[in-house]
Amino acid sequence: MDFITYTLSALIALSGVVVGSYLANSAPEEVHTIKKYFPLVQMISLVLLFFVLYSYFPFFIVSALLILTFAFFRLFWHRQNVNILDYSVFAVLFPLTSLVAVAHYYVTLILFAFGVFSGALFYVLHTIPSTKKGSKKSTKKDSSLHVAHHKHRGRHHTHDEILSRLFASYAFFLLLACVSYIVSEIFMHLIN
Amino acid sequence: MLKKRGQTWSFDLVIAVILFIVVVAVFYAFLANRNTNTGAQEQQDYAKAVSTKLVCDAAESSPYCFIEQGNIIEEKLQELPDFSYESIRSDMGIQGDFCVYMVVVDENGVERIVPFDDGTGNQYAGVGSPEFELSENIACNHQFT
Repeated sequence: MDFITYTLSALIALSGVVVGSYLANSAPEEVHTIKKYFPLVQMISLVLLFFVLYSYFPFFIVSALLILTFAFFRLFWHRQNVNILDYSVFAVLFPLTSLVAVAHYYVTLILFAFGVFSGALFYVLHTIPSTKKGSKKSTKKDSSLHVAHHKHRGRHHTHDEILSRLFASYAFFLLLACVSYIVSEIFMHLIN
Repeated sequence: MLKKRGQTWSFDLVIAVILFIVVVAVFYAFLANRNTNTGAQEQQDYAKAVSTKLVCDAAESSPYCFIEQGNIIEEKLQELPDFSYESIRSDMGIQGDFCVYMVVVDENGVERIVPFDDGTGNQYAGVGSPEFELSENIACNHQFT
């Protein structure tokens, strides 16, 4: 697969996180009620990724990658955001799927779906749901979503900051996917 | 699962990702090389199988052969277009597509297709898959009028 086609597919695949955050912004109440299912869906996406890999690639290679992924998660599970770990794995494995067009198509869809839930989850983690009527916690008449005053080193995150961080993550993982592809192509030409 | 963890990249995470990329790149190079070799070798094997069956010296029992001792046998050549492409392919055990055609090179080095004549006045550019294009607007089994 040529680099331009690959980059375009990576753009589409990783854009799910932006779509997810936009959907969460549009329907925040609904997202907060179902946010407990998002990690399960993310895990299912990862399982589906390896299911596609097992269908189109040699068993031993995919098994080695599965062990590597498991080790990667095991090492950093308690120290790093699970979305970052998931996206790192997806971005690094994405070039491998470009060897088989059908597999690449399926993985693009899976990654996009994964991104939608990741983006929504990210948005949810940085916002608080509107409180019920009569609650003492909220004094505002507007029952729409409040942005959490997430104190991190004295800074408060606004909607714009949340979106800019999402776009930064999107750009970063797109870059990671492209770097992974370029390194793979270099290795291929070195061996040939 | 919603427990908040760090969101910054530590040095060991960067190293782990780099190692992951290197391993995947090695697998990528291995698989890409394997696909290229398999594809090219397979095509060569198929081409050899087809050309062998067309030479009566090498395959006496082949109903498709029309070359004997370096000479084209006109009667047998005329029978070739009568066979269906699928029957030829299944008899030869070929999975991919192929096209059998003849060309002559004139004094200017230009290749010209020599059509297959089925003996009834119908002339075909070649015998094989209609997906093949021998030249612009001329498919493998194109019938000349």
